[in-house]
Amino acid sequence: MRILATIVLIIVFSVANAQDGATLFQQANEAFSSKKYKDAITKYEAVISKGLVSDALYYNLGNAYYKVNQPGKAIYNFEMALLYNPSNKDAKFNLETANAKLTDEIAVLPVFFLTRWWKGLRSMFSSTIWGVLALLGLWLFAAGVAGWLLYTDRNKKKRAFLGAMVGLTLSVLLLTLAFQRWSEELDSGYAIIIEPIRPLHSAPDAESAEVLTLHEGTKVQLLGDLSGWHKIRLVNGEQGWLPEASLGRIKR
Amino acid sequence: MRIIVSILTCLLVFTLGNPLQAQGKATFVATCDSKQATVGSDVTVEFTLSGAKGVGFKPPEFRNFDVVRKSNGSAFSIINGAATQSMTYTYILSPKKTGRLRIPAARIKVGKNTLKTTPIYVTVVKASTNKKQQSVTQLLDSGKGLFVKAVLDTVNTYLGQQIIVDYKLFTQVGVSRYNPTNKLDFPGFYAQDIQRYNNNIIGEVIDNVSYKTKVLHRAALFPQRTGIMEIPSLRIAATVQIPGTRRGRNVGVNSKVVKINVKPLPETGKPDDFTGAIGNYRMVSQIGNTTVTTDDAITLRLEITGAGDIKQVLAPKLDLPEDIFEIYDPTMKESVSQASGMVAGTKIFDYTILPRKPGNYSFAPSFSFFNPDSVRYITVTSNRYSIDVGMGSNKRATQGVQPVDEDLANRDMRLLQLETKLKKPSRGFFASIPFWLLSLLPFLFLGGVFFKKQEQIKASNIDVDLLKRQRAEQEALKQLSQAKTYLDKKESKGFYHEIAQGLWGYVSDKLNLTVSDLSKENIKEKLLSLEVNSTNVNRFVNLINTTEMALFAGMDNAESMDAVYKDAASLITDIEQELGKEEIES
Repeated sequence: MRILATIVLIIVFSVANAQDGATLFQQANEAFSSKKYKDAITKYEAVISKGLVSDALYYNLGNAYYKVNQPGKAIYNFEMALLYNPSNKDAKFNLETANAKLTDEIAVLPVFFLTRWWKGLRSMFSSTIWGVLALLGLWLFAAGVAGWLLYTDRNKKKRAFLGAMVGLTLSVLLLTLAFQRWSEELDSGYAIIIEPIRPLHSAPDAESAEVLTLHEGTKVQLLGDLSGWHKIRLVNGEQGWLPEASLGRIKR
Repeated sequence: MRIIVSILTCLLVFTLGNPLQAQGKATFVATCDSKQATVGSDVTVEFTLSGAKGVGFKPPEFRNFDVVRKSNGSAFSIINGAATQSMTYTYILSPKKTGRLRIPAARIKVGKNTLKTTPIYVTVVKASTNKKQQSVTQLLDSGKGLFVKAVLDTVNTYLGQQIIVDYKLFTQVGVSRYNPTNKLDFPGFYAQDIQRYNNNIIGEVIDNVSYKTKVLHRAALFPQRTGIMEIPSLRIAATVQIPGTRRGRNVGVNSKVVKINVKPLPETGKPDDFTGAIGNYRMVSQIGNTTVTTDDAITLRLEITGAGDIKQVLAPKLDLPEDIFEIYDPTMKESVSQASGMVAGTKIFDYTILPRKPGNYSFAPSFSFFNPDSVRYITVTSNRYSIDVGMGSNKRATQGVQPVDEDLANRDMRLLQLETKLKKPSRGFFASIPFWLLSLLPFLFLGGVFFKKQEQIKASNIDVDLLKRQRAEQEALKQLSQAKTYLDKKESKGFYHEIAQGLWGYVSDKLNLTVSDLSKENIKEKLLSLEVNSTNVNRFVNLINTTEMALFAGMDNAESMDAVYKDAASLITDIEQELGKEEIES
């Protein structure tokens, strides 16, 4: 009985919370429309701190940051919007625009073609769709094995076995894709520099040599962390260390 | 013990059998321990045949030598699991006169072929005029008995040129033990110890005195600055045997410091693309694709191989217009070898080239180095490549390869998205519990299929008769319970019919009798043969008689019906107990 009451309470509370969030989101949009961007930012952030998210929320927040001339945070929020919904065309458009205005030009190293193909294939579907396809692959495998067991005709047996093998291969491949896509959706492994000017250190220590100076909005790949510092790699292959606080990590 | 012996025998047969049967490549060579010798000293010459069995060895005519002693011996050696047999004929010779003396070819027959050695030359000089035989102690005291010398292949060198230094031990006396006592350090040089070189003992003559020599240490040196530089000395602690005594004498010797003159590289003829590589190199190149679009990358590999300090070989600059081609710093792989007693190496450069504009371009990778042997700068070029660049979609622009796209930067941002559904961030369907449960389903289904298949197999194997026997009692009791309902309703005909059916059916199932075989005599006989108590058998037959009678006569006495029912029920359980339950075999 008590458990039931607790569950009901949680549901009621979360519904109220969501409604609260929706109102806040509305208010933030209105603040944005009347050009009170800072006010809008506080309200959008308040929604996020309630633990509620959506791609539009991050997208709008990015726009607000962009208006107050904080391109680093703007880019970070556009990236977050795309993390939640990779097909958000507005977010893609605004991200490209914001990126084009960045001061740093960092050359992109060409990626090995197989890696590029695999990444392209992986980003074609969400982890849910890959997962469902993997389930279908498993069913194909199961049906094949069942046919192989139950058929008595040699030819049918052979075909069923072939089906089972294809199903097994497919499901392993699809499960791999689903898993990789899923971990990518949870944590892209990338971060955006959100501090306006940020020296890149050669070691996880503020006293260490500064390799070069980076500006906000630069996308970096995270390689590992040590006591509040992240080892990062730039798109041109250069590596160094940045403190946690200077980074906006693109993850859920 | 006997097993070990037989294993050893097997091994011997294998190792011995191989070279005799599989004679790979037979070699016949002559070696001499001295290049130089004095008149009257000993020179050892060996003729070695390996990899085959030879007959009819014919030694050369030693016209200019006296043969002091000759011997021969054979040896087996196993190298990398392959056994080789070798035969060595040894001659100890004493030169009779001075000059460049020839030791002609020796011959041997292998199968149908005759093998010949190449002639050897030994330079023989007059022995020291000091005829007085010096004792070992005297020799050591004069410093001529044993010394170490740093021998260089050149003393006039260029900056960065490879110099090979050999620390050589020279001795006229018997040395039983020697080892270096200082660590060699070459300030001002990039030095590398050479691990593999010929360290055989060789005879040499200095000032008409013949010595036995051996290279103790070899290093490759690359001078890093110009001017007069010093090759440091090596100190050796040796123990020399004094004839006639049992104890040796400990001696310490130092090599002399050698001075060399290092010259700067000549300025004349220095190519523009020279980056400091010195030695002797060659270059090979490989290109990925020469017909590309502006979207593609061209890969180029340059492989530079040769003798010299390969670390000084820097990536050659490619002769391509910079505004059209973007060339990334190449990745490189380096390997150093010490083949042929000097430092050599290979360096591989992998370039990635991005064409920016369409058109036809031609270039030939080239590499320049200074060759100290010919005192010249040499430029080696590889194939000339012509690259055909087509127009691509320029998709790379959006990935940020190219400078800021003005159109992209100047466009307006898109407006707010007003509609949304706020949610708690979920971890997604994949890796959620429902997903894993769903992925278990196919396996559950497979489990079901397996189970069904097993059942089928079992069903097809089960003995029908056995099944009947096992179910006989059950079926009979079912029939009896039917009879009981008739009894309650007092319908005698139905009652006796059911009882008769139950009894007949029971024995039919239990004894596996077909309906045509069912007769009272048959049943009696069968039951008795199965060692059923004769009173029970009689009870059974009587009961059947009673029911038959009742069916014909139409008896409907309630008491007798009850008695018959109880009798039938107890009789079936009794017989069942006597026959015993057969175990279910699956």
